[in-house]
Amino acid sequence: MTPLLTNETIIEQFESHLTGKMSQEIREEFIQKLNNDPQWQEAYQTFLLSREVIGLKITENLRTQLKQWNKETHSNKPEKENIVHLRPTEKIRRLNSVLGYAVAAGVLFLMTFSFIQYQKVKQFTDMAVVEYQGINSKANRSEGAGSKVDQIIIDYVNKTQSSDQTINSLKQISPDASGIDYFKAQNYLGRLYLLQGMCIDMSTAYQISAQLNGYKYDGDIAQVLCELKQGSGREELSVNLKKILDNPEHTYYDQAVEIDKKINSFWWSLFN
Amino acid sequence: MAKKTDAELVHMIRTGGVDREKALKIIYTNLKIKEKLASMILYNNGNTQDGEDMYQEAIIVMDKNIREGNFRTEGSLESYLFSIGKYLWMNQLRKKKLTLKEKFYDHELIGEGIEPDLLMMNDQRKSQLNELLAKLGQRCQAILALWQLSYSMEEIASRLGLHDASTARKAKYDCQQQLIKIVHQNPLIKSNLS
Repeated sequence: MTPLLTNETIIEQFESHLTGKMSQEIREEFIQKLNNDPQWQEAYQTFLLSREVIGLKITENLRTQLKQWNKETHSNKPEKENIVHLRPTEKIRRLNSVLGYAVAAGVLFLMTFSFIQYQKVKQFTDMAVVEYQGINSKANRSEGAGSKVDQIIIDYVNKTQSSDQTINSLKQISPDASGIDYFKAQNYLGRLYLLQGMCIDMSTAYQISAQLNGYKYDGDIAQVLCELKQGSGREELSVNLKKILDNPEHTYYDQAVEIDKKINSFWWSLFN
Repeated sequence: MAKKTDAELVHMIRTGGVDREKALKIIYTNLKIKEKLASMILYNNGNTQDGEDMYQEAIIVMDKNIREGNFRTEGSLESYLFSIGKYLWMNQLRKKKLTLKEKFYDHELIGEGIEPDLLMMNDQRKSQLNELLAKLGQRCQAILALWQLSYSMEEIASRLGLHDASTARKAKYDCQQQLIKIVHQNPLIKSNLS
């Protein structure tokens, strides 16, 4: 065994040199000894190797310590925080991407489908109203053609007069006018009010018209359609609708069934 | 505890003793870099346990490099650890005849001030050194390991249940002499000298 290494001061010198804690002057002297003295060379190499051996022990201790810290970290944290968020594999990322496109396509489809349904709901109301009030049909204008009222309505149908202008003109037809003109004016007013969803005015106009014509005004379906136009809720609609549905002989029974079916559908609830 | 800068952590490891332990714990519990490395390993044919193992190995290498004065990076400790971990994992894959999906060049290590040769100890040399270590008793191994990590004699005495610092100093001297004798008798010393 190299006798130099029994000297603790020399070991401390080796240690200082290795950790860079040696002063410049002593260092130069030390290096000179190392370069020229084989005994010093052997002692220094032995010292280095012994440090390397202990280095293995240090590594082993640190590995044990890290495992211990790992265990502590896991036991100190709630389960959720222990999850290490890893970058997904290629396969998972591809799957995510496909799923993303599928969801986007699904949303787009749902939006388009909903829009179409919305249009259908809206169209139904408009068609039902137009069908009922039939202001554009020739039949409704045939009686008493050539009268002042007919001219007003022709202007409206030809779009030379707006709805409001037409209503104002029809209101000008006084009860003193010929019986047929006033009756027709009130009848058309009822229809125009229905188109605009003005249910009270509609009801009044229809009633006057019915009285003049000598029949009983049956405004149930007109009321239902007007409320549809107004955008009334299902419950409100149901009251008037029920009156028709309770009577299968009612002229508008079939139309009422159709309306009832419609207002109880999912899409109707969604858009009304 | 106030957040430590990279420079402070490196200084603490260099100082050794309890400071080193504290610094290593701070670094180890940095989940950000741990997750980044684990994610890279999972992407490259590994699993979560491989991620944990590589992170621990990277810390061991970093600790050794800092203590032995081989730490010269100008980047962050995080990128340093990541580069080591990636390099170590690449070597594991090579053993399994697999490769990294992403490219890895040695200059990535050099950019971090790491010399690839210093990262991996030859298996044969490791085995020879382990043989020498095994000839030394457990108590001596513990004393010399603490001394090499710059623990004070008082701390060594306290940790190993020795009477006092003076007893620890004497025990350290005896153990060191034992080790020097073991090493000197081994043919490895000749290869070190050649």
